[in-house]
Parts: sequence; structure tokens; C-alpha cells
Amino acid sequence: MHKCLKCGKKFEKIMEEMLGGCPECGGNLFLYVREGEERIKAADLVDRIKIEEKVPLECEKIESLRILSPGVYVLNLDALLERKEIVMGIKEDGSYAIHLPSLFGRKNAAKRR
Amino acid sequence: MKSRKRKGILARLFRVFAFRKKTAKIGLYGPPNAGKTTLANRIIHTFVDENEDMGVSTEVPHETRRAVRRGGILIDLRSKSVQNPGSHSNPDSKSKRERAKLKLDVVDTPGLATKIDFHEFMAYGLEEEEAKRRAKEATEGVIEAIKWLDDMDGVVLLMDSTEDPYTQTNIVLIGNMEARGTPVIIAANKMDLSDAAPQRIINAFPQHPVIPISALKGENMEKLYEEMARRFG
Repeated sequence: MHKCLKCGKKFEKIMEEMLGGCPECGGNLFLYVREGEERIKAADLVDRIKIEEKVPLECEKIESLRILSPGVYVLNLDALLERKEIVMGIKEDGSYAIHLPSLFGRKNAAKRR
Repeated sequence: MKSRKRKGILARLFRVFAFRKKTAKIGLYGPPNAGKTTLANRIIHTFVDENEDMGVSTEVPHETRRAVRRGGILIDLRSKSVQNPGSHSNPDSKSKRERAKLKLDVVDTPGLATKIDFHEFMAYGLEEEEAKRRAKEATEGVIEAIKWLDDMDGVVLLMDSTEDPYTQTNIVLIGNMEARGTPVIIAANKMDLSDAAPQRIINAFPQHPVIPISALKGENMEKLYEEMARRFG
């Protein structure tokens, strides 16, 4: 059931007239109410909303190098300075690549010394 | 982070006591067009050979796209006059100058940036293909410069005094070097320009020595060399 949040009128189904607003009052906000839940107040519904925990920042920073298009690069200096490996994000197909020489670079540098 | 810092400090202490005569490896770091190659050339001209260049310095950003190392530079302020002909010598600096002697390897690095777009090269008249190739090389250059940081005993971080110092590049770089325990000197370059404001850099990073210089004109270089001898020697 759809309930107009302005005038409280209930509609069993979405009617074509509702697409332009409530036929009674013109309000354009409707609440979908399941059967048997007519008496539930909006305040109770708010409590049902679960706010998922923010995704850890680490996930946002994972790419150390993003290739936006050929010749356009975005570098995450923080990740490059902190991590041993270089993770590249390639925009076109959403794929990622790990730069293998960067993983072995330290070992080789140590051997050279 | 903490253990790395401790490791960095211990490693430096070990070097100070075990290899007192070790050559200090100093990296010239900073954003593109800050004057890293100009400073590298100035150091070589003053202490090694007037006709030797470490790199080509132009107004096009990312001109240096590979790290260049020049070893065995003896910075000896007793034997060389590093004063610009127009500048005045500070009588108080005589005693400091007597102590200022430092053997070092200088590494001129590609400019660090958070975004490299081939269009910025095209603005300098480069063809698209060439601009894209440069952008790729410049990106590889940034990664190479960062990899070199592991080997550095000290860093001279160059900033353009005419620009806002609160950039992501400067802040990330300084924060990382503090975490590593690498000694840093900030050279506030281009002080000869009328819109230079080195005080902004001094205010932004009060925890590090900031020396206003003009690598191009050779102004205030003696002060920078003294600070290098003090911090990296």
C-alpha cells in the first residue's frame, strides 16, 4: 500500500495519476507500507535503517597509480611512499595490475649494494 | 611507523660512529619546476667543474625523468668562494665556514607530482605522441624517485617560493621523511623573483630548517651549504 506523506491518503496500487503527484493534495512523497504495518509510525521506520560502517580508508587508497587514459596518470604518493608494491588501476576496463619489478626491487637493490 | 623511525635513527647513529668518513648520499627532491636540476648544476659548477652539468634545466615540467647521481662531491667552504659576486659576506659565518666540509653524492630526482597529464606537455608545443611518452616517463620517474628515498642519508627538499607551499606533494613527502627519520633541509628556491614569499614556507614547516635561495642566481648558497654540512655531515 502507498501512503501519501502529505495528506495521508492510501492507495492500494500505483495509479497513473499518482505519477504527477497525489490526486488528492498534489504531494509527491509516498511511503510504501506493507500489509499489517499500517499503524507503524515513521519514527519507528527510521530506527530500522541500518547505517553500514564506513568502508575503511585503506580500500580507497589501495591504488598507488591510476591510469585514467593513455598519457593521464594519477599518483597516490602516500601509497607509493608507504608500500613496497605498486598497484595500478586501469580505468577503461576496471582492471588492476601489480607492478612485479617493484615487489622485487628492494631485494635486488640490497643485492647490488 | 614508529619502528621504522627508530630503525632510521639507529641506522644513522651507526653510520655516524662506524663510518665517520662515509660519503653522505643526498637527494634533491621536490615538485616539478622547483629548481632541482638548477641546484644540482650549481653545486657541480661550484665544487667540481664549471663545465659539467648534471642535467638540462628548462621551463617544461618533468624535464628530469630519470634520477641522476653524481658521486664524490666535496663541499669545502674553506677553499671555495661560493658567494655570489653581488652578495655580501657575513663576518659571523667565518667560524662556521671553517667547519663546513662535507663529502657527498648528489642525486637529482624527477619532480614529484600527484597528477601527470600529457596535455600539460602539449601546452609547451609538444606533439601528442611525444607528450604521452613524456607523461609515461615522468610517471615512471616519480616512482623511481620514491624508490631512491630508501638509500638517502638526507634530503634537500626544494620548493618554489612563489607558489603555495601547502600542497599534497610537500605535505606527504615531509610527513614520510619524518616517519623515516631522514634529515631534511627545505630550500625555498627562486627568492630572486619579485613575488617570492619564502616566509610562507617557513611558517608552513617550522619543524625543519628553511633556507631561502636562488639556485639560478647563486644567492644565499653559502647558507645552504653550511646547513647541509651541519645536518648531513
